[in-house]
Amino acid sequence: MSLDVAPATRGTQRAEMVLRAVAEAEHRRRRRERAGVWLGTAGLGIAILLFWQYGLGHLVNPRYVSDPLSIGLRIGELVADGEITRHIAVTLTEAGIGFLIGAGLGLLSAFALSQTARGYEVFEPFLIGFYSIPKIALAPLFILWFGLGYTPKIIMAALLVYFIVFVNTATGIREVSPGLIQVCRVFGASRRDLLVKVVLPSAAPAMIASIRITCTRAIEGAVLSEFVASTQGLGYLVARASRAFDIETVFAGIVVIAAAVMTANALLRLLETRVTPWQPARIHG
Amino acid sequence: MSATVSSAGAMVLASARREHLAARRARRLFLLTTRLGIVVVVLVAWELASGTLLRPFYISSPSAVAQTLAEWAANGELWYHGQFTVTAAFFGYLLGAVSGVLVAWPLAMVRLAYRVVEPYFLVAYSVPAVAMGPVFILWFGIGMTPKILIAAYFVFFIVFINTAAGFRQVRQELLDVTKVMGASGRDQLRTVLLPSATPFILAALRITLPAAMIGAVTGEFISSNRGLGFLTRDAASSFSTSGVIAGVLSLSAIVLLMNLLLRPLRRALRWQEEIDVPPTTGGR
Amino acid sequence: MQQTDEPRTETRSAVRFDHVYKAFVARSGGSEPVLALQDVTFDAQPGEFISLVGPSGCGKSTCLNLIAGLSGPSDGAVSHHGSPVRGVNTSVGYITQDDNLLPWRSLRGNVELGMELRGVERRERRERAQEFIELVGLSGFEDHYPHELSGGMRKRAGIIRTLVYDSSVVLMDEPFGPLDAQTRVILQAELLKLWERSRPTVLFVTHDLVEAIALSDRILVFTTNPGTIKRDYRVELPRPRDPFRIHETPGFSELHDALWDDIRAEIEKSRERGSS
Repeated sequence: MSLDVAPATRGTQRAEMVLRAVAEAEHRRRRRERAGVWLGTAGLGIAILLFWQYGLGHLVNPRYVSDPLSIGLRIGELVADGEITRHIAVTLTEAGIGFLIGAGLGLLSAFALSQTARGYEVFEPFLIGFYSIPKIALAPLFILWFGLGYTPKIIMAALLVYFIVFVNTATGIREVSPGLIQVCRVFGASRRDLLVKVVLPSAAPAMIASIRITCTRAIEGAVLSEFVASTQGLGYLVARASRAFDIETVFAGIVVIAAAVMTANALLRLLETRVTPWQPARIHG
Repeated sequence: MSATVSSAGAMVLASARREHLAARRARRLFLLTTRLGIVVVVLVAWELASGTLLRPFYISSPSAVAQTLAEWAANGELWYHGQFTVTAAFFGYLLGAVSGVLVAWPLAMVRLAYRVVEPYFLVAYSVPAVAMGPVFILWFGIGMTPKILIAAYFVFFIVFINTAAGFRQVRQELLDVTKVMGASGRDQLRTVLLPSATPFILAALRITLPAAMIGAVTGEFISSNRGLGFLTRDAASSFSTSGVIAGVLSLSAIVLLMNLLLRPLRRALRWQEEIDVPPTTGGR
Repeated sequence: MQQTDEPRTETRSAVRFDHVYKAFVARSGGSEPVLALQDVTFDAQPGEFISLVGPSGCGKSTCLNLIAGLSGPSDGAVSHHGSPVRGVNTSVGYITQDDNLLPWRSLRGNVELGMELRGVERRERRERAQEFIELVGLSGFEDHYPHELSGGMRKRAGIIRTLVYDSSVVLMDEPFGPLDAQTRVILQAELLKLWERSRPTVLFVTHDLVEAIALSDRILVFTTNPGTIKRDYRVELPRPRDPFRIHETPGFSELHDALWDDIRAEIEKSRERGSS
């Protein structure tokens, strides 16, 4: 009824050759692809800079677009005379404190509301309402209330951070799989066990992703309020330069703001993969 | 199926239904009263605190705000300024959404091309949109154009990222299966790629309409001579707290209306189970 | 299309593996390639129903991908009706492990998909689809979307979607994998009924030995890591078969025991390797 075929030993030598060939081909392919992407990215960047430096000025008035070298020089000057360091320190302080307050309150209130069955439901329409307020429109109020110092900027940054952290955390908590909770109940988990061992880890990816996203928003909030009224900070630097038609300084300020945001983002992304290594980030926005 | 339910079973069913309906009624009543209660308590406390605990100069009062709103509505200022903001938001939305889809689509289809340009989009995305405001205003003056552009900038990246994700997350198995069935590249675009990206694009379009509105207001705040953002700022510079609050309220009402109108889009496609794009985007 | 039916005198095989080796680097893994197939040689005659059984990860699915042309052999040759498979082989039907229905198409739209891509005219498409939908008892659900169908219904849809366009070779990769035992047997019976209509060559990957016996003319037992063919069984139970009563057929238990001994030896071997 049956017949033996292909004793496994016959093909082993051949198999080793095949394995080696495939490994080499794969290695070559990966190296080529990496090199291609790297060269493409670098080339594109250089092309953009070269075009901006030498081409763009012929198309539009160079007074409006400046050029990378001048902007770089201006950044150098600003760094040399220490002015920009002061502005950076101010903006980052505002953003940092605002971020901590906003994220802390967001996490706390989301967990507090999730402890009562109907809390979230009662407050939901208000949250949607608050969420819909263009926060920048509140800047004049904060300035009216708290003057030109740090406070209104911190509050603006905290506000932008708060809602995103709150909504994402609350969503994360409510999406904890009911099956998981049931299983742990049967194991005899207490309310606290559930919170610490199930709810917190389940909601962690959404929480942490939202915290990473909002570090941009904190800086944005600080800069935004500085635009509206301030005497120091990166937003002030850019706003003042733009009124004086000093395009180099405007771009220099933007470059520094972008660099700050990207650094913060990169640091938090590192933290994110540390804290929730089991989950790939999935949130875009 | 009901043919096999015995009379005792039917009674159990009926009482279960009754209980369910009663519980639902009770829940709705509870929500309605607590929500209304909160609104009433806050408004009354505000009205009472104004002029007693805190100076009206700082917190105004509900009646003063209502009065300002009524005045603006009566003398036409609300509609006059509102139309500029909404127009800027609308064109910015259109521009940002269309260009976001059109740029993301071809890039996402070519895996390597996407990897080449991705870092640049991330850099541009991490420039806080508001920082670009002064640049646009320098370039295009204080008219409608810079507001449209700021709104478009707010919209573009969100649409771009989600559209690219939509095309890139298409399941390889579906591409393989259709390929074995004899699909050409164009067939695959029509039968697999476009439909699978559609929910992502729709979700992005839904969450960015309010973002466009906020972008337009941001532009007006930085520099303008009309629009609701200007109206609010103008009130602030004349220290009219009720004016600022009235401006904030009318802006919020428009954004809220947009959010509510777009809610049904959550499930626009019959074939999909509800997808939820995390609500991370608005909120500026 | 390159694979037309050229009747060659020396080989009438529908599918032929000639000392095939396949190594690849797993998409998610590191950079070390694994050897999925080693020196695999077999012939599938036209109209034969062949099951590929063996422990997980023994390269059974890889065999199907090679026939479908989704990847090429690292060494050796895979041919289809006498000519080597080059590029995607659009003349086979492939039923994958997940049903892979298009979520945005109704049941009918999914069943018509293959015919649509092959340029079958709309009227004929509709008629044939309807015929097959009725055949597997899905009438009334034509306009339902995949997420509105039960697991068994989706499997049925995935199967008729491929069988409806009469390929001479049909590849099936654990098509009944996650179904419950009853639904499984019902679908086996339906598959046999459909298969009897046009008797395509079928290569059927499964873990379930009873299923393999109930359906097949031949059963290839694979070893794991690397995947080689250990034994080639001929199933000489009479047709038509009744999957509901296959256990009672004379000859069933002997074959089942023999298969089980082979597989168990393989599983033990791979466990020893895993623990060492």
